[in-house]
Order: sequence, then C-alpha cells, then structure tokens
Amino acid sequence: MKLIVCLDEAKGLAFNNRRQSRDKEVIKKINEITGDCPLYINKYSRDLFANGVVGAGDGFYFAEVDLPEGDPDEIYVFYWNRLYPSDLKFSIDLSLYDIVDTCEFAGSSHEKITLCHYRRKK
Amino acid sequence: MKLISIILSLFIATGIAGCGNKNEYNQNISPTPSAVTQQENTETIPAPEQPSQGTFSFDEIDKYSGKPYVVVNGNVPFISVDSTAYTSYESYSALDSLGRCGVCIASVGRDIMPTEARGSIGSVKPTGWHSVKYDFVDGKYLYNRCHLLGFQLTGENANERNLITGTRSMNTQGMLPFENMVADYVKETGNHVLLRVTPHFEGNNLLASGVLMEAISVEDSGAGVMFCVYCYNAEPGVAINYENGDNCEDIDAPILTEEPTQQEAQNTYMLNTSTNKFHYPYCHSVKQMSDKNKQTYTGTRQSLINSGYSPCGNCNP
Repeated sequence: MKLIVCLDEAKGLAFNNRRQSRDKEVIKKINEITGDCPLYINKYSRDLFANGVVGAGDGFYFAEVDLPEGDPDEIYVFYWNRLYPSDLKFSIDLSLYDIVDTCEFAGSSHEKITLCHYRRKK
Repeated sequence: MKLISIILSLFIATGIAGCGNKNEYNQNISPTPSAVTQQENTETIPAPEQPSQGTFSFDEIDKYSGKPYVVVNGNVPFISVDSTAYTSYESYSALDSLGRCGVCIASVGRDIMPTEARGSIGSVKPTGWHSVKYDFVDGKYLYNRCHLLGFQLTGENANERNLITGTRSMNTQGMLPFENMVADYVKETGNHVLLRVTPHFEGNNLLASGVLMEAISVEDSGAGVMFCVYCYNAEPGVAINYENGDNCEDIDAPILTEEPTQQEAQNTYMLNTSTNKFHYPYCHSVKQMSDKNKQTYTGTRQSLINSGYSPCGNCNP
C-alpha cells in the first residue's frame, strides 16, 4: 500500500475530525501520482476525490482524518509549511524510509508546498 | 482563576448578526451522516455538531499547563449560523472604560480578506502593553500586538478595537494556527466561516488571560471548519502579572507539556559537513550539496546543535 498524507509543521494531520487544510494544486498532484491506479479514501475525503474508492486495498490510500494500520511501502507527504491546530499526529517513523524524490510547488492558497516521496528501507 | 462568568449564548452573535434560527441551521446543512460506520474500512465519521446554546464560564478553563490552547465545550462553538452569515461582515466592540477590547465577530469571506500586505500597527498601544525582550522567547519580544480577528482574515491593520497585548506564544502557537485553518478553507472553497473571538479580562486586569475562539463554516454548517478553543495569554518560562502586564523570568512557570515537539523529536536531517548546516531532506540546498559533504543523520535537533551544527535558514529545520 502506498500512503498519501498532508502534514503541517508539527506533523499534524487533522483537528476535530476535520482536515487541517486543502489545496487545489495538491489534488491535481495526487491525481497525477495515482494515475490509473485506484485511490482509496475515507468517506470524509469524498468531497475532494469524486473518483476515490471508499475503503482500503492495493494501491494508494489518501489519509486525512485517520491513519491505516501497518507500515506502508511508500509514503507521499505533502508538507503545508504552515502550522495548524492538530489532535491527530502522523505517527509513522520516517527514519525507516529513504527519500526517493522531493519537489516544491506553489499551491492555490499556499505559498510553498513540499512533496516528499519516501520508500521503506530494505 | 477569579470567577468571571459571561454568557456566550446566541445573544452576542445575534445581537450583531441578526436572529439565529436552529431550524434554518439544520436545513442548510449538507451533512455528513451522523456516526456513519462503513463496512469497507469501519471508520466512523462524526456529524457536524449542533451549536451549543448554553452558558459558559471562563472559570471552567483549566489552569495553564504549557499548552497554547485547550478545547472548550467539545469543540462546539456557542454561536450558530443564521441567514446573515452568508454575506461577509465584521464587527468590533467598542473599547470599555478601561480601554480594553471586547468581542469581535466576523463572517469571513474572500471579499473581506486583505489584498495588500499588512501595514504598521505600532501606533496602537493596547492595555497592558510592555515592550520587553527575553532571549528564550521566539522573536525575543514577549508581547505582540495581537489581532483578535487575524489580519489575514479581515485585513484590519491598526484598529484599536481589534488589537490586544498578547504573548508571542499565544499569537503564534495559540491563535495563528486556527486563523490559518479558517483562511485556507475560505480561500479554497469560497465559503464563509463565522468566527467570534472573545478576549477574557479578569476583573479590572489590563492584560487578557486568554481568548476564546469559536468558528463554524457557514455553507456546510461546520462540516469544513468547527472549533471552540481557549488560547492562553501566557509564555513558557515567564511569570506575568495580568493586572498590568508586568512580567519576569520564572523558572517555575509552566513549560510546554505537549508531546515532543519537532525540536525534541527524532527526525532525519541532511548534514553539510563543510558548512556545518543541517537541513530537512527536502530542502533545495541538499540538491546543491556536494556528495562528499553530504551526510544523513537521524536524531534530535538539539543534539545536532550541541555538536556544532546550525539550522538552515531556508528550510528552518
């Protein structure tokens, strides 16, 4: 499974069962990353991904207000580079992963978003 | 905390914004179903809560323990959406007889967000104001002129009805994250967020003990944004006299008690052994780094600093 998350400067994911932020450019990037592969989502994320499949399976999982159990093979992290309130933190130890690629881009409402692609160390 | 009870019911909101209507509120919801449990992955999604119409006492707030904010009333605000909230507006209370700010409320929409950079606000001297520095405070200055309704939301510059004396911690760790959440939601959706900020002054104190921030997204009835929090006007390591804002370093004052911060947590950094700088792995400087000077390090930020490394000025690890 390949995990996709968006994190703030404190590794926060969500607050009060709601996403911290959103950005149209991130949605575009995620659609580029997943291509024709299935994108699994929590029901909460249906307003962002009409093409998303509610549930979990082989492919990509976009986590906003939950984190799946287990350690994913790959993780795509979109860093907002801003601070938001959070009561759900990202708990996966990224030191167990190698960085495969990084890039920065401007969002529609964020000055700079950083995308890091991690792959689990062998 | 001295007993100061205020009624944060619909009266305050509707006194400015018009009459609330609970039925109308419900009718305008495009709700997430209540406690929907799905067979696919069994997650539970909460429904937007109904705004609370009860009373609230600041006396119920826990004593400051180092956390910048605390959730109040289960994150359910005491304000509710009515028809006036579908149009942007902002309102600021007149200063009281002591020159103190009062409740500020806005329905934040794109049309009232600033289009220009913030101007100077140094001409305003809010009650309790002192210009004082501590080396261990972020930015050194203990007090900031703190917008009740953030500049990024309503574009108010030097409005004395919207500026209180606030600690650096309350400004950047307490209030700003919530303002960011509101601002992003409004920008991305074009919807409105009803936001009320209430400064809390005990008795005749000139320095607020904190602020209550309440918000609910309008068009989706809170599905996008909903919170109710109290932000402490406090600073770790500083003792503050709220009567007048006097302050001094105090090793017994609460320090941050949240889970390990980025500074304490184990992280992966990229070291430049030539410049003795450390970077986040995604920092663009890493791509320009010579391989012979590049080294991966996993550990705490402080241990790197103790070893003579300094953080990159671009990625600010």
